[in-house]
Amino acid sequence: MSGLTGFHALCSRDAVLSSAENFVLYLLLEMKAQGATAKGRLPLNLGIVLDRSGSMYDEKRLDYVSEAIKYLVDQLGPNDRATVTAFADKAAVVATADDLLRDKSKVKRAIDDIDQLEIGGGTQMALGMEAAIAEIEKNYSPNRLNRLLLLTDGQTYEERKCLDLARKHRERISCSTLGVGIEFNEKLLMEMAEASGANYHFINEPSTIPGIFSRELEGLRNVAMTNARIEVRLSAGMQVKEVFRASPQIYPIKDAVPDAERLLKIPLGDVESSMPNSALLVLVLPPRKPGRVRVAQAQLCYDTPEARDQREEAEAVVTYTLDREAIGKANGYVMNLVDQVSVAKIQMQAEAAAASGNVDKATRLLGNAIAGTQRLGNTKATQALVSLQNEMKKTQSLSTRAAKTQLLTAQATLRKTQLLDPESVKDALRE
Amino acid sequence: MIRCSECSHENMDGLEYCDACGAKLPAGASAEPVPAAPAAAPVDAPEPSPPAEASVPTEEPSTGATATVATPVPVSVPTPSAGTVQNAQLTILRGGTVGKVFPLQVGDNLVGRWDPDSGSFPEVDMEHDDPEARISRKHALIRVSDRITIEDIGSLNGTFVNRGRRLEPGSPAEVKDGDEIIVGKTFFKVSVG
Repeated sequence: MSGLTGFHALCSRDAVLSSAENFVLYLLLEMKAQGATAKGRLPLNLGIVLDRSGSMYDEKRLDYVSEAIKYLVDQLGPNDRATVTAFADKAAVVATADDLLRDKSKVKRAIDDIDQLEIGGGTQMALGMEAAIAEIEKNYSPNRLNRLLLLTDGQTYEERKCLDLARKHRERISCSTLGVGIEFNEKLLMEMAEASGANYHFINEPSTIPGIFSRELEGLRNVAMTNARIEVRLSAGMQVKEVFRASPQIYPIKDAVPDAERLLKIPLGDVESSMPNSALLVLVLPPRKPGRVRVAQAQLCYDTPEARDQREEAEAVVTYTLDREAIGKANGYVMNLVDQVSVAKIQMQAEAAAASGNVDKATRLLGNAIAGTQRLGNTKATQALVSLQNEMKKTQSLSTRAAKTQLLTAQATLRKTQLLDPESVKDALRE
Repeated sequence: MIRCSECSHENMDGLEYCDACGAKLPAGASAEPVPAAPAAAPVDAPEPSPPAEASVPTEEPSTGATATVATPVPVSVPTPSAGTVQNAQLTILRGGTVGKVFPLQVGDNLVGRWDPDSGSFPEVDMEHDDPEARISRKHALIRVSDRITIEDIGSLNGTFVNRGRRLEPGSPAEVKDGDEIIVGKTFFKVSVG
C-alpha cells in the first residue's frame, strides 16, 4: 500500500502452474480515495437536463421531477453553479447559472412553468444534452465537479449520438442518468453513466425521485477526485479477456482494449471518498517456465482540487511453478469480487437471451445466477432474481410491466458491489 | 481445459464460471505441470519456420514463443539464437490508422480481430482499424524466427505479399524488410531493426 489512495494490485493467485496451456488469472486493481480534501468539497457545476416529452405527464412524473430539481436548487451553495435545460422536440435553457445566482425563487417559478415551454412533445435527448453541455462549458473549471444530470422517461431518437456525447466529453464532464418510469431505455442510460464513471439510477415510483436526488447530491458532495482512470501496461504475452468495474458498481467496460503497445485505459471518472473503487481484469496468461514474472504495471491517474494529473503505481507479479502444492488457495478477497462480477455477467447474458426470444436459455442462466447469489449469501439479489425468473416463466417474455420492473430491480441489486467486512479485507491484504 | 458439467462447454483453466452457461466450474486447473524435459515446454523454443505440417491452422494462436520476448521481470527465458530476426514490426500504410505500428514478437503473431467468444486474441489486432470487417478473426500467422514468414490461415478476403498472388492457406511466404503485405483491405509495410 502506498500513495494517497492505497492503490494496489491483487492477483487471484500469487503462484500459478507452469503448464502447457493458456490459463485465466484475475487481476484486481483497487484504491480508496481519502476523505474530504484539504480545501473541502469540490464546488459543483451542474447541468440538469429534463425530459419534457408528452409521456412525462403520465403518473405526474414531471411534477415529481420539478419538485426534485427545486429541492436541488435549494441545496446549492454560493460557490456552486447549475443550469436547467428542458427538451422535447427542441431544447430550451430554463435557467442559466447567472439566473440561479441572482434569484433562486425566480428559477423555481420557471421550473414550475416548464410545461408552458413551446418545445413540442417528442424526445430529442441529444439536443437537450448538447444545450446543457454548452451551459456547463461556460462555467467549466477543472477545480469544479462538472456534471450532467439527465432525467428522462423515454426512448430517444438518436441513441448513438447521446452515447457518443457522453463519451466525447467524459474527461471534462461526467454524466449521471436517472430513468423515470419503466419504459426508458435502461441500457442506454446505464452505458452513458458508465462512460464517465457516474451514476445511473432508476425510478419506478415517482415518489422516490426526491430521495434519489438527495442521494445523488450527497454523492456529488463526497467526490474527492475527478477524471480518475487506470492505465494498465501488460507484459508481453499477457492478454485481456474481459474488463469490469468491480466496485462501487459492477459493469463491463467494453471499450478498454490494449493498444499496440499493450496499454489499456480504464476510465473511473469521479470518485467518491471512503469507498473502494476497483476494476477487475480477466487475463489470459501464456505458458512459461517456472520463475517470477510481472503480469502488468498499473498507474492510477486522477485530478484533485489541489493538483492535476496525480499518479500512483502498482504492479502485479506472479510466480510460475511446477509444484502443485505451492499454488495454494486463491485470494478470497479477489475471488469474492470475481463471484459478484460473474453473477452480474450471467444476469446480463440472461437478459440478452430473453431479448432475443430464447426464454429457456434465459431461465437456465438465471438459475445459475441464483445459485451464485445464494453462494454469496446475497439474499436481496437472490430474491430479486427469483422474482424475475418466476415472472419470466409465467409470461415467457420480459415485455410485461411486471417483468420489466423485476428486471430493473434485479439489475440495480446486482450492480451494487457487496463489500466484505473490513476485517476480512485486512486479512486478504496482509503480506 | 475445464469441461462444464452442465453444458459441456470447454473453458480455459483458471476460470471460475462457465463462459457459456454461467455454472460454477470445479476448482483447480486440469492441466498437468510441464515435465522438466524442455521438449514439452512450448516456452523453450520457437518452432522452426513452418514446414508442410502448418497446413492445418491451429485453433488457438500458438503462444509458443511469446514468452521469449524480454519482459520487465526477467525469468529464465532462453535467449534467441544468434540468427533470430529482432525488432520486426508492421506499419499500416492504408486502410486503417495510417502509421500505426504493431511490433512483431519472436515466434507466432496472429493477425486478426479480437474476439473472446471464438478465442481469438491476436497480437496484430485489427479490431479498431477494420470497420468493414475485411479481416477475419484469425486471418494470418506471421512467424518470426531466423526469418519472417506469413501464412494465410483460411481467411475470407485473402493475404497478399507485394501485390502477388493470393497466398494459399498452409503455404507460408517469406517476407523481408520493406515488403508490403495486404491483409483484407489493409496495407502494411514490414520493417526490421
